[in-house]
Amino acid sequence: MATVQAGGALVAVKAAKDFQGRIGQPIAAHVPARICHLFDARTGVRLTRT
Amino acid sequence: MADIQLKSLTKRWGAFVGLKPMDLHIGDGEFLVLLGPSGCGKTTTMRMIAGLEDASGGDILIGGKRVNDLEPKDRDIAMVFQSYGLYPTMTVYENIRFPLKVRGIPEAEHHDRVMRAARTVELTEFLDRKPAALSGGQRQRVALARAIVRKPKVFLMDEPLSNLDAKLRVSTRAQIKNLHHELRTTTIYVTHDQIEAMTLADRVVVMSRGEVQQVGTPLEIYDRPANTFVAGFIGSPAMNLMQGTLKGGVFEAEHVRIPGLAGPDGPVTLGFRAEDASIAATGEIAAPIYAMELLGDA
Amino acid sequence: MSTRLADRRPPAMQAILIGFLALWLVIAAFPFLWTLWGSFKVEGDFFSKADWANALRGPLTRAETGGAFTGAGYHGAWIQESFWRAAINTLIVVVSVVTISLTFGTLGGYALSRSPYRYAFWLLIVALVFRAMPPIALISGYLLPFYQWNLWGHLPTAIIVLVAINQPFTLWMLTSFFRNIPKDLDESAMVDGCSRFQAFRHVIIPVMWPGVITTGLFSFLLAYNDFAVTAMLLDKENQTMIPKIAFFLGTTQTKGNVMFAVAAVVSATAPLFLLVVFFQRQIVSGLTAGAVKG
Repeated sequence: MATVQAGGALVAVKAAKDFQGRIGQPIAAHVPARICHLFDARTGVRLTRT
Repeated sequence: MADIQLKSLTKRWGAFVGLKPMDLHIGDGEFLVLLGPSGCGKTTTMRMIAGLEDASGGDILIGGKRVNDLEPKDRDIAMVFQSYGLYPTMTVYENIRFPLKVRGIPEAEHHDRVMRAARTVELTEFLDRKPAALSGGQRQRVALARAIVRKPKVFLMDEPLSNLDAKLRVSTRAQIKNLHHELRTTTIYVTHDQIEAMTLADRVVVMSRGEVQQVGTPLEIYDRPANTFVAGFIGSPAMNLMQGTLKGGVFEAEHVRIPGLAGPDGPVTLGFRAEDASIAATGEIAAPIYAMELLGDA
Repeated sequence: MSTRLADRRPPAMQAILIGFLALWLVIAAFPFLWTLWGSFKVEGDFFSKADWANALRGPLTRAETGGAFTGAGYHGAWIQESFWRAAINTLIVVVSVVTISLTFGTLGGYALSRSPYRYAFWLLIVALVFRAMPPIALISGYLLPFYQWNLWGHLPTAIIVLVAINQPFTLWMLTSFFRNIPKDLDESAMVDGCSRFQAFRHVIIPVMWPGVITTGLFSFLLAYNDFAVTAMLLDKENQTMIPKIAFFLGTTQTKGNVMFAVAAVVSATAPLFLLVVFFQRQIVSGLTAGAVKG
């Protein structure tokens, strides 16, 4: 599990078992639209599922 | 066996609202879990169904019959308490037998029924002991046996596993699940532990601040959280939530750019589960590592 | 553990400890033993002006009665001065006071301990205030109305006043005992098929026994040892033991009456010893209220 700071929050992403990462090292994460959930920013209510 | 209906069930203490009007139908034989952090109103809801707390408004129907004004003893329910509520002066046998005795069930049946209940939860060798001489898990099983000895219409369980250690919790959880499969009694189970909720429930009611957030099967709640509270409460680790803006189907935030989304333009919260995403050479999120954790299933 | 700890102590320390305990025992027990011994002597010996050791040797007892010990004090007190009547009165008063205050105390204490309302707290505070007053302060107020309503002098009057003085304490003590019993217990019982009262009777009271007995003992002692109320409110016919003893002491002009008092004191003390020895286990478990938890 690798944690990065993004979008004003701490975001965790699954990492492979053999993934070697150091703190501070830049990484990229694949977050396709189909796994994302959208919520209203103010009320927190679910908008859609894509 | 009976279904339960809650119609605008409400609880207030003076100006404080413990439970906002709640409507729910619990089917006959269903295993329903009330899930939420402490103070969310889940225990209050259960205690009102049990009759240990008066409803400030609304109706409770068990098997189609309004029970609001009935004493707990007349509602034909059995309850397992967090601290078990065993009678310390009685032996295990007498504890299990107590509901039969006070309800005036013919003496001749007592022994058979006590023994059957004790066998179901594997307590037969401890029947002569007092609760003080039992381990936590054994006490818990006595409480379960006392609940099933009388074949009530409804089981209510108030955080029954929270006083057990982690290992025992898993096995007792399985036992409760199996018991429900065998008896098919309508069960309401209160917990703050989402893993318990996910593994036990037919349906889960997620509650927060005296309000129902979502009702659904464990899968529905996991896959389609109704709001950010449910999204952030269910799953281990909980869903990642990021603030950003959506414009033309593209979500943008600091270090993040995710295209291909459908939704109205403007500020939104985006969530995804850590196990759905993966580390890649290039991706929608690009940022330096903040921390690394080794997780068993990661 | 404690035996092992004792074994490891140096012998000198052990000796000092035992010596200290023995000394304490003698000092604590001496007044009782002295009175017990003296109650079988005549006044001239026990209250000898010539030599205190006469109380031990008893020359006058031998001279007056022909034996080393005499039961004259007991005979005089119990038969001649009808101390038995005082004993019966005490029995009536004590049994009534304990029964009434325990009945109200357990029911009230249970209700207060389970009450979700704040007035329960204030009731207990008021009770504490009344408990803190010296009983004699209340009695001076009672005297006039009791005379006028013709209630003065009767046993029931003293019983009611003693209950009134006693009740705040029993209420306090029992409330705190009940608070130590988890609510889950009553609630389990009510779900299992009991009414509130059945839950109280079948489940709570069995757990509460040590607490009830301890509280009962304290109210027993209060009623048994009371002087202020019984001396002021009872006429001579209805006197209980303690005012009767005071009455014996107040008439020292008559030779031998002091010995009646001494004999009566011993008679009044003996039941207390038996009682404490008999209920010793309950008292200990009642005082360590943690033992009540399941």
